[in-house]
Amino acid sequence: MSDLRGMFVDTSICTGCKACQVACKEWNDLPMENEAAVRDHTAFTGNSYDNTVHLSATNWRHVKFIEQIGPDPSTADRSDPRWLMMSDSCKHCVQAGCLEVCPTGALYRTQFGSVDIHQDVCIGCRYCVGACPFGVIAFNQRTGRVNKCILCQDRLEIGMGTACAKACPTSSLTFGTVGELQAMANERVKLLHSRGQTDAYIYGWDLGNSGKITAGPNKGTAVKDVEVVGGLNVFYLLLDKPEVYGLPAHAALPQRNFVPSAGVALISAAVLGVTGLAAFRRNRMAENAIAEGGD
Amino acid sequence: MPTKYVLPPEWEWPITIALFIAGIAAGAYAAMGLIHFAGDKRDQAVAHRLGFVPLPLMLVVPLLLIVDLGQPGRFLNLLVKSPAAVERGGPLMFNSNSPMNWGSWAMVIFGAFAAIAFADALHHSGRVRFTWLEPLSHNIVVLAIGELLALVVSGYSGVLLNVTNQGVWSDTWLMGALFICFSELSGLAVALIVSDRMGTVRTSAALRTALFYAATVSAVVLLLFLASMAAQQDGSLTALIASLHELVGPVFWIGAVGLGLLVPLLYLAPRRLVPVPNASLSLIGILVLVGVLAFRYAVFFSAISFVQS
Amino acid sequence: MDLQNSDAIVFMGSNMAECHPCGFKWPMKAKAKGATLIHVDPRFTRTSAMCDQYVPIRSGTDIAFLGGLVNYILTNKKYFNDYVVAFTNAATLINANFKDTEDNDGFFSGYNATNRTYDHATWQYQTTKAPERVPEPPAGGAPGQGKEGGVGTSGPPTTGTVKGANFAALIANRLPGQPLQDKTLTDPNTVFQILKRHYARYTPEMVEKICGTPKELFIKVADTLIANSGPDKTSAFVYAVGWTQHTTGVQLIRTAGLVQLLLGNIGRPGGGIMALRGHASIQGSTDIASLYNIHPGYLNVPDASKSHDTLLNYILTETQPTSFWSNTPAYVISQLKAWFGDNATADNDYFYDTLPKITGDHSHLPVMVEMSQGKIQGMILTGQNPATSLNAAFQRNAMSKLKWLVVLDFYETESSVFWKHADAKPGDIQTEVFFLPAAHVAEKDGSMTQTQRTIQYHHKASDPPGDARSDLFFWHDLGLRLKKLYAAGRPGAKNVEGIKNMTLDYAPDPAEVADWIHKDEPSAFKIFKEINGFDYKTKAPLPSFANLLADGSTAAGAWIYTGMLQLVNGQLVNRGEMLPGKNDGWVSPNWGWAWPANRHQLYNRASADPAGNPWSAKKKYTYWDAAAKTWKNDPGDGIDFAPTKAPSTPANPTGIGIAFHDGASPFLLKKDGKGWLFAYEGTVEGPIPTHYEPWESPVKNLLYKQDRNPLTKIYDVPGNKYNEFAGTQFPTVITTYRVTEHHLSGTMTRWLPWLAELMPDLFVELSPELAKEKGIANGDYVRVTSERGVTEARALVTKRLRPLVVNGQTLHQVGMPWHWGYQGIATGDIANNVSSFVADPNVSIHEGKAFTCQIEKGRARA
Ligand SMILES: Nc1nc2c(c(=O)[nH]1)N[C@H]1C(S)=C(S)[C@@H](COP(=O)(O)OP(=O)(O)OC[C@H]3O[C@@H](n4cnc5c(=O)[nH]c(N)nc54)[C@H](O)[C@@H]3O)O[C@H]1N2
Ligand SMILES: Nc1nc2c(c(=O)[nH]1)N[C@H]1C(S)=C(S)[C@@H](COP(=O)(O)OP(=O)(O)OC[C@H]3O[C@@H](n4cnc5c(=O)[nH]c(N)nc54)[C@H](O)[C@@H]3O)O[C@H]1N2
Ligand code: SF4
Ligand code: SF4
Ligand code: SF4
Ligand code: SF4
Ligand code: SF4
Ligand SMILES: [Mo]
Repeated sequence: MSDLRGMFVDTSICTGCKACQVACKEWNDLPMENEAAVRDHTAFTGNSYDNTVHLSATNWRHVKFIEQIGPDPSTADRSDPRWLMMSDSCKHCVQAGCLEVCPTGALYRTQFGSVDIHQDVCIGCRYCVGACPFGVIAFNQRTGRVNKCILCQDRLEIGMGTACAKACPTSSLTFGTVGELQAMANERVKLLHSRGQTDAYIYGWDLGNSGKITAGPNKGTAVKDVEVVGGLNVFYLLLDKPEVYGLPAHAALPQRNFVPSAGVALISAAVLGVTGLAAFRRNRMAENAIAEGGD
Repeated sequence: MPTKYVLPPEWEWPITIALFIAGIAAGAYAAMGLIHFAGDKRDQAVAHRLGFVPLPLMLVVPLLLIVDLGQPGRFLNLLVKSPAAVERGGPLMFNSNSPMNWGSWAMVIFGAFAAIAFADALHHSGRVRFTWLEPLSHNIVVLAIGELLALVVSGYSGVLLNVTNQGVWSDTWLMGALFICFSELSGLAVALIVSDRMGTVRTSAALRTALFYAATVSAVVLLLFLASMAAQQDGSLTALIASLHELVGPVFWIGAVGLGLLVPLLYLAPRRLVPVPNASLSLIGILVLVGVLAFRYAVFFSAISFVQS
Repeated sequence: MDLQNSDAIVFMGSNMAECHPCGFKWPMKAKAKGATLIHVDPRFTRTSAMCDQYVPIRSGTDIAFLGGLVNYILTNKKYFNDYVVAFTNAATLINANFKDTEDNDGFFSGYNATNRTYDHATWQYQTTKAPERVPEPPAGGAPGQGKEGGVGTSGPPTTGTVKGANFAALIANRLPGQPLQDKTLTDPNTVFQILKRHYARYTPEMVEKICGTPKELFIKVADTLIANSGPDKTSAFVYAVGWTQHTTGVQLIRTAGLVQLLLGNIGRPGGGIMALRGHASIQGSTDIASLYNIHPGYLNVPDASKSHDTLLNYILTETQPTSFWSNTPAYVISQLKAWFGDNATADNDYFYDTLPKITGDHSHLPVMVEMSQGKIQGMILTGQNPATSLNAAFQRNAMSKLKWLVVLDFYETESSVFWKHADAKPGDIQTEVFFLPAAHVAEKDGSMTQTQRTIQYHHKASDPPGDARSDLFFWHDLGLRLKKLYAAGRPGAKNVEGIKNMTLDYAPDPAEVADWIHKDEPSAFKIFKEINGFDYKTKAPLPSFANLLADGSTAAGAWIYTGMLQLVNGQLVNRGEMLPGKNDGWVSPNWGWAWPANRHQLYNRASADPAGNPWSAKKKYTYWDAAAKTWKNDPGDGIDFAPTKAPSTPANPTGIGIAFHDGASPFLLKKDGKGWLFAYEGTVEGPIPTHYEPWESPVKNLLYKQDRNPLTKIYDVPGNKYNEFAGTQFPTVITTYRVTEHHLSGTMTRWLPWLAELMPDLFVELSPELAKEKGIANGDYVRVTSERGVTEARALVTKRLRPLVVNGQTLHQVGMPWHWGYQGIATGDIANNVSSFVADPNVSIHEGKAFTCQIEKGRARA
């Protein structure tokens, strides 16, 4: 357990500088997502300061911007203004949907507990894409394989931390062993609560914290730590409901459906079998009836 | 308010066609088996003719699936463990958690049984003679195993869709069932057409009833599916409606539900309610096939994602 | 770094989280320790998002806001009395004839309307009688003896002669009297009373009327600052160009100085006013003179309009007998010695005469104006991209009047292809453009001086690509070529001697360039050594400016940098290299080297009370150790005071330099050693900051008849028409700024794929309220227009901007980042198409932060 590596993402001190996003692209030498769009002026989204929109095969890290200037975006009320920022990436789930469904063993669990991809095994079937509850892993049209954050496997192997965490000027991203990070996260939540910022809670592990949202449209809503898919090795401190950050409140393994689905399928097959047999029996009986009935 | 934030796997035409065909192959094999089990001597001719169907189809299916891979050259990684996948033991690739892996194996093995059926059909067609084959091709156990594999082939992809985190697909347990129903429908439809063409009226009559029953079962499963969507409060129904955008909606309701289920049901119903002037059973069979294709299309092209932006 | 010690931090005129993202970790540290962070800004930015209080303000009204704070502090008697009385000039008496703006319609006494200048006579201190003047024989024989000049850190006596004159004595002969004070602060002529009267009308209500800042928010800021200042608490202000880029920029920053002096927040840990500088080494390039009017080390450039005709007169004009600047002669002469070498002697005034003299304002704007009038033949453009800067069209047009233009840059910048702009007619442009590929900072040796005055030397990481060369190579080579030409002797050539004698001996030692592709790259380290200074005979580097002499025996390129090179176990290194990252306390005196003399906190004597004891245990910093009879600083910072001058030392009316001050005068660069609440010199438009509206404003000045800064530098030339003041055609206030994702004109970012995609296009931020009024939807193309021109941008409709109620009327503000241009990967229209040439009278900074515009939906060009 102690050699599990991960990251703690403290969104309460994220300044949205995107250094992490750039550091990731630099270290992993990822191309522009859509150069044509940038060149012909179709890349501007008008979505706050976010012009890369979501994680992709070329953006393994993505910084989200959520403007909450006042309780209701449609009114002039600007009380308790907030601008939430969150740096997102692969969560390196303890129970990783992507890894579970991969039919080739391209996705694998590393010695650090993270989820890496053997690029030369991946057949590009995209099953993992549909299986990740967070929309993280993505198909790369250029290579015909999938890509996502690999927790800087290459750096970790030579004893370095992750590139994104290294670049983060506010230590909103911290790399370390999951145990240490959990302790750190817990302390941070307690500190914020003691300062009246009771909205802070942990997404990824249930460390027992709970509070109330203090601003924005969900002001007053109760929040508490959520553990999803058996825990996230890359986990978050959030200040509003998970959905606000585009995170599912109840992420789950796709396998939850396997046995039930197969069971129901078998039953339906049985029913079909029986009806099939019945059909033939019925016809035969009808025939015989006719045969007996007359000449 | 969507509750899923996932990317679509972009499974489209090749997959749709492939699984449509695989469904027919498996369904036809099932129908063949059904006749073997339930039919009498006079029905066997149709069974023997049906034997021709699965193999050729099962040769096309993998090709289509492979074509759809981002890295077609590597399809063997599905069965033979790539040396690069160092974490895994053994020479072969097994991942019991991955319906796709199950399906891959099922198809390969089912291929063998389809071959046996094909040879048997040849044999009975009198063109070539494999007397030695009889005990094998008519062996009840062999047939049973073949049926089972056919079942996996027709159902695995449905289960696979359940085993994702996509909106709609993963909101129910009925995808596998639906896929089995629809491939059984297509199988029986083919059988009916074959039988109709052969003019084996008796067999046709039985198959017609079988198809009626199957359609009924399918309709029920479909209703259950819709119900299960409505049942969940986390927006699955909204998701479903959202998923039936553009072409997909009409194709699903008119094609799959209308042509594929309702019309046949009404026509095949004991006291038939559609005034199709003595439509040939083949026509009905074709309608059903169209419906099944529509269903496949609707399923794959409805893949939706709610990546928040 | 010191911000981590603050109890409250006000970011005002700075968007630190976005523009100084790494430095921002220090305020975040303070916040983690419980400090209150406040952002006063027209927009809710990524900095606001990190702050406890966000306070909206109308661009260009900060003096009203800060003046309001001064008034609030004074009227509620919340000033730090002991500090104010002892360390500032609050108690000093001002000439009784001084007239304030209150009694003079917004003018101070001494205004001359015809040439728009002030006579400072009535602004002066009342003083005791000056010491007896010894009659001075005409240049040559000197009266009396050279008196002790600087005490302690201020170095050795400034004795020495130039062209035979002993200037030390002459300096001594210019001692003024001691300022008169009333420590009860009650005399109506005390600075304190004048200040009170001046700001009496800057009430919270007035602040709300002028700035559009809700009264409650303003008062909350005031109370937070007051609660977090005093003996055991300190607050800091952080600003950058949100404050400077105004026609009142200098006075604006002074107002913050007033607030901080009154609250006792200067010279103390966690206090101060943090000026966040710009370009990575902009601090260094100010220290080493990128400005036309200062030589390295902030020595004034000889000026034809001042008594600078001879070195003696220059020294007598520039040397302040009663401040640390009494050492000017040592610095000037050492500098001339460094520049002109062996032949520079007292007898030829060290070639002082060969220095060109300035004849007026030669800063960027006036130079471009002259260029537009065809008065300038050629330009060497290095490290600049004016084609997208203020009134961009005007500047591009000016460049098209050049005969030749040399551009040193990495990429084909807008300036290097100014003729490629959509509106240009290349056919009519005669300018010959030479583009020279420049080496990037990582491709050359050199030093950086960051915003805390910390200098670090660095070696290059790799050779530059192709035939790209360092700027150093270019200038060094140019110098050598000139020397050759002049040596050959050219008829009518000026300054022959000066150019002939320039010491350009920077040829690299073979070892230095061993693994470089270009063996003829000059040695940056040799220049570094020259700047540091050395004993002229032994060539041994000098450890401190205290070693600089005025007799030609020492040479130093910039006195403030003397000591940045240190001898560490036999190796001559810059401390930056010496112990990188060595953790030696939060001041880290061993990491980097902060000028002057590795002092990180300036005026830090003020961190102890007049008697020399820490104001409080919590804020203990520099203090007097009575037993050891010396000043101490436990975190290891340098003492910014005479190290052994006891707090009780009385003022010495005949002392030269800081000896003139008593032991409780921390501000040793000031003539009276006090913090100036009242500046009788230095600021041309008045001794006390006064609220004037921006040059372009939709509203009139609510405080005075005089609407705008009377001394504003205006450029009434074609292509630079101003929007009507308080007119209706351009009703919207506009400000311009930066985003984290891009750097300035964008050459260093819009060409980089990873950054280009993050902010692909120019946008204008506006409130949903204004958008609704104008029928603009988020993402729409909009036209922003002014008398100068039009800029096309995408609308970013956001509640982060808000309409303000100014003097009862709703007023809209919009904002544009200005990073785009027509070159590079991410291109976009130029924000500066709409800005103008208009400047602050003290330092000629433009007013890019507050002007007016009209905004409409639609494209600018078909
Ligand atoms: N990422 C990035 N960092 C940079 C730069 C860059 O281009 N990009 N440039 C560097 C350079 S050269 C410099 S000079 C610094 C500049 O650093 P900053 O001065 O922080 O940068 P700006 O964004 O120009 O302006 C800061 C803030 O001033 C606000 N503002 C505008 N008008 C007013 C006003 O009248 N009053 C007040 N109180 N605020 C006002 C703006 O809304 C903006 O949020 O940044 C340096 N750092
Ligand atoms: N409207 C508006 N206008 C503004 C401002 C604003 O806030 N609003 N900000 C103002 C401020 S604070 C500033 S500092 C100016 C900046 O204005 P500029 O300095 O003109 O803009 P930069 O993009 O910094 O130009 C620097 C150029 O130097 C090049 N360069 C970088 N390093 C080197 C080097 O080592 N050698 C050589 N030869 N070239 C190099 C870069 O590629 C770039 O092209 O803009 C001013 N203009
Ligand atoms: S976040 Fe998605 S991609 Fe990452 S490990 Fe979990 S399931 Fe896999
Ligand atoms: S796309 Fe690659 S990684 Fe994803 S499931 Fe298929 S083989 Fe595995
Ligand atoms: S851990 Fe590495 S791969 Fe993952 S986001 Fe950070 S930099 Fe990118
Ligand atoms: S680098 Fe750190 S602060 Fe900047 S966006 Fe990423 S997580 Fe946030
Ligand atoms: S210059 Fe670079 S290192 Fe310094 S604050 Fe800006 S981004 Fe950070
Ligand atoms: Mo700047």
